[in-house]
Amino acid sequence: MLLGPKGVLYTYSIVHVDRERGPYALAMVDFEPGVRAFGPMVYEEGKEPLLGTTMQVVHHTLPDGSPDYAFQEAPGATT
Amino acid sequence: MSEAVISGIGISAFGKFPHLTEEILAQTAVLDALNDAGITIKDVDAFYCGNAAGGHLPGQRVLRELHTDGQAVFNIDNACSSGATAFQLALDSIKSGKHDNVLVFGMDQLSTLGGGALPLGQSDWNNRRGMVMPALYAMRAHRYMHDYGVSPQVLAEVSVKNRRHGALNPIATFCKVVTNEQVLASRPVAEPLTLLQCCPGVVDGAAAVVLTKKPGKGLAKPVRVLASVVQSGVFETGPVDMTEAEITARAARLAYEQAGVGPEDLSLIELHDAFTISELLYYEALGLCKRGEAQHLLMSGATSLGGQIPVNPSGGLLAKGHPPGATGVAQIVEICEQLQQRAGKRQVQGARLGLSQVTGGGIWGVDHAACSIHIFSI
Repeated sequence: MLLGPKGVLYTYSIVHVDRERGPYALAMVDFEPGVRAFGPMVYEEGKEPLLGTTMQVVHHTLPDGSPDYAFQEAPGATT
Repeated sequence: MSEAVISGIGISAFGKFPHLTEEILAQTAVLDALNDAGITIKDVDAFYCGNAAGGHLPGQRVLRELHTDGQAVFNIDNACSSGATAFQLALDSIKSGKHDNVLVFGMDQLSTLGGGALPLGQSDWNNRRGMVMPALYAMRAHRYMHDYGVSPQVLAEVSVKNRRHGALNPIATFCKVVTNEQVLASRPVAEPLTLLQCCPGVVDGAAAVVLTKKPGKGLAKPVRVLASVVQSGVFETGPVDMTEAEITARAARLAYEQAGVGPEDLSLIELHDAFTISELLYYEALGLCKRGEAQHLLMSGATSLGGQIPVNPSGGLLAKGHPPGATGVAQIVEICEQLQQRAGKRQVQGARLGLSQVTGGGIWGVDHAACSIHIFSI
């Protein structure tokens, strides 16, 4: 069974503990069939998604250069 | 089986003391507890030390200059539950008949470590992504507010209440009374949590209690231990409800069963308010109210001093700060002072039964790595 490709935003927080890095968002996203994934969330400032929004998974790079994934509001997302 | 009672308590000031050492802070608490118990260090059969940040052999370092006769010292690290875990092991050593007098103490000095959120191991991939404890609680807060229609003002009110209590507590040296607006206007740490909704990160402190085979010869009336529970986190995958404090609810059920009491019988509670949201989640996990109703309990004033079930009359972690090794023992000290009617301006009238709850640690996939709950009576 395939996971995703789209999930539902369960919760997130915008974190302000690292002055050098600046604010960053962390989120929990639920995928069928019953998998919750944690990871960074990319968003447009002032347009933070609501909980329940449909999210997609995109390529992301951590501050130390490591490749990672991140969640992002899916195009035409519904909540 | 022998019964153990708390026969003496001691606590240092909680604050920033970079010019002191954690050994000195702990020695203050230890000596006060021994004096309160009416015994000397030579009468102590074993020592149990809770400490999270101090490295190897913290207990022996504290006791070296107090001249013990070389009795056993047990060092216990269970993150924020270190002190409460040490207490349970000490309690068991008396109940089993092995010892007559034991001393439990806990301390940490964070002011010499630099500020900010408690460091989590960087070998964990999620921590490299920037996971910190405030972020985890912020995510819980966000979901809780969404599910139950809780406003930021309600969340902030936890901090207002606990700092109001803490201002009455002489050991909470830098606690100030704050308004709801000030809490919300303080800088964001992990949204929706602002700085004044997180327990102060740079605080030093120590606390100690003497456990004695009944009846003891302490200065104040002995305090009985009706329940002592330590639980560990269960690995959960899948979409769990993050607004449910699973490990605390589980430990509470066990504690109420051991003590033969229910939440309605309690006179006061000291709980692990590392963040404002924690206190609301724990009202529900401890059975003070139904799921989603914590905001009404808080706003009714029931959990303030003078209310039906005061929570964190000491000011809690939000007001006192949170040196992890000390916290569990400091909560027990507060409950004892309350039950012994010597809590000064923050006295809960007619206190007969108190509960302390402390959680501990962040490892991925569990609600908390550890949780300890104790119930005490007089």
